[in-house]
Amino acid sequence: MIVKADEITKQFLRKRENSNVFYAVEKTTAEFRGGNLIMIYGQSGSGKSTWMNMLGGILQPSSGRVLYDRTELYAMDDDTLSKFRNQHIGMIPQGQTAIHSMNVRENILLPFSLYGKEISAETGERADRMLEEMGIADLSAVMPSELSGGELRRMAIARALIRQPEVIFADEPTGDLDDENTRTVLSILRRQADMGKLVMVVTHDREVAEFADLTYRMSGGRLCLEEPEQIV
Amino acid sequence: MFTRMIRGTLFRQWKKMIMIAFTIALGASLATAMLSVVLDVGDKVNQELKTYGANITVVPKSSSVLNDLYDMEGEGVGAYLREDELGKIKTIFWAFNIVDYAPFINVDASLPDGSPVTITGSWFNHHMELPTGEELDAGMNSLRSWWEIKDGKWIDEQAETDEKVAMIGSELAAREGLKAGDTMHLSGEAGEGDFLIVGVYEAGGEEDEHVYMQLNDAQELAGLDGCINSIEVSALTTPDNELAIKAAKDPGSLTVKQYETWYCTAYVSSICYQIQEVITDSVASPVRQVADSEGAILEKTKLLMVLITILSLIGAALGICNLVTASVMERSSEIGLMKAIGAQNGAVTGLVLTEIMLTAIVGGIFGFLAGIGFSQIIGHTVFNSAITIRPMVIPIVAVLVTIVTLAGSIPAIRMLLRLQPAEVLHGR
Repeated sequence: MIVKADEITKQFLRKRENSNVFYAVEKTTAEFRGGNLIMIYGQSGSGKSTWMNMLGGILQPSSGRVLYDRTELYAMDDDTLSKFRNQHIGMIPQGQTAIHSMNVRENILLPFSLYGKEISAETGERADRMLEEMGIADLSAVMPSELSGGELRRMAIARALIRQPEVIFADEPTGDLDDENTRTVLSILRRQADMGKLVMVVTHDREVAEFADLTYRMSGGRLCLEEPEQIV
Repeated sequence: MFTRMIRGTLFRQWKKMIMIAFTIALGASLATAMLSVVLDVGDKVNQELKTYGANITVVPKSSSVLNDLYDMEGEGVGAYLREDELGKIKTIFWAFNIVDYAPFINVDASLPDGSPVTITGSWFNHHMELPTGEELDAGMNSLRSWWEIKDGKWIDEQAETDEKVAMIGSELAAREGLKAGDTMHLSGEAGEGDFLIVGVYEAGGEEDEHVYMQLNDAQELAGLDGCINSIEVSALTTPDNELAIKAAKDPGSLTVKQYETWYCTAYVSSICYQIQEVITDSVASPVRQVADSEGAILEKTKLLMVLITILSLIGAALGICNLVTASVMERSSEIGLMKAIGAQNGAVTGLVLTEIMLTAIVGGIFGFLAGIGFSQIIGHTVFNSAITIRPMVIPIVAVLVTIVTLAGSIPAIRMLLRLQPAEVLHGR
């Protein structure tokens, strides 16, 4: 899968000295291929989450196109785009996200449940493998409110991977994790890239660079490719 | 899993859901109570109004022509209805709506000193066993329920006595120095006799100068066996509409379908028409003042009830609107998450609406039961009788609850549809 941002911009209305329009992302064109773990780093407010959301199909750009191979993401109607996200994109949002009325296993299976699908034995086994891989197998029947930050994050990763999407977006996946959990999470994402998936990690944690194939810096709404030696 | 999500939300937001159910219950209870009363109020108001007397008078056709020509009050002379046909009134299509009736014959007589006096023969509590198996005590006791008995009592037709009895008006009693228990001698054109005065009444009109006695006694005095001048009928009627007004002018102008509708509806004109069919050479006409009052009071009462229902439902919709919106806002991060991982708007809307509708069903059932209680309180307080709950109230209330719940959920659903996952997942 090739994900291409074609001259996309995102502007928000915000009171500024000279203009009421604030460009969160300046006009940018970039192309990302499967099998890579892409790191996008930058300071808070640099526009990296906005960038990721536009590529992830949950925030329409102000201009430009987002292409998945030849499929133009925002040319689809809302329902088709939702289904596309469900089938092709794994989204690991910032913070601790869960449906609190469901246990850990049910949360992981949510992408299937949303389309009223019966959970097949194969899917159930995959969910169990995911739980095992994330190290939270013993928490399968536990409710999200009883999990720690790291466990919640691993649950969110398992939920993003359960449908085996070609593209995975992770927004600050190591934000509130200790060193051990950080390495566990990044190793999982690295393995996905090695399996041919496109993994894009948005972070301000430069430790991620160690796991990344390509690193971009987002600054003032501009995306720049950085050489490894430039990352301090 | 869908069920589990709903159950989870219902339990997790139980306080909010109870408030939503309570709001719906409040609206449903008022709607149930008001609808039950509206559907039953016609009969109740009619029954109340029956205490103001008859709403239909039947006179011989020739008397009616004279009345129309000369705008005369009272019955014509020389034309009579047949007493033996009185029972037929309870055989018409709307027989069960005839709650009371009484025949009248007016006779000129004189007192021993030669002074003239008007005598009216009628039924008082005349017992009838009808072909339908129904039994009825008909007569003036209930048709003139507003008469005040100053002395003695009403004539009791069912009392086993051979003595002839009469009631006299208060003015006549005062002028002649008569009281209950006295005997009065009366002479008519064809007979005379002594009558025991059992009661002195005050009607507040010219009747206070009259003497009332049993129908056959008056007929004997006048030599008019089996004859009556008029019949007063008290019937439960449906307020007139355009069809009834058109039919009252000329039933022949109606189409077959209109005729059937009119004939099979308890309009006063329809009942009059049917009475004319069974009483030979008669003209039955509504006492417009009473009939119009019934219609006007009924319509206003119904309008008031419907307005209360509408206002209570609007109030419930506004309450639901606030509560559902608050519920959706509280769960916006979960909804945003579901959308981000591919939930379609339809699925999310369906989830929220299912939760709300389940809550509405619970609230609606409690509201309906409470509404039945309210309607009985209204019935006993206002009409001194129970309100009959019509089966049709159930589907009407169900539809109203559904409409109100959906209408109240519209702003929340609009918010839900506009909700951007990227924004809520970043806490905006």
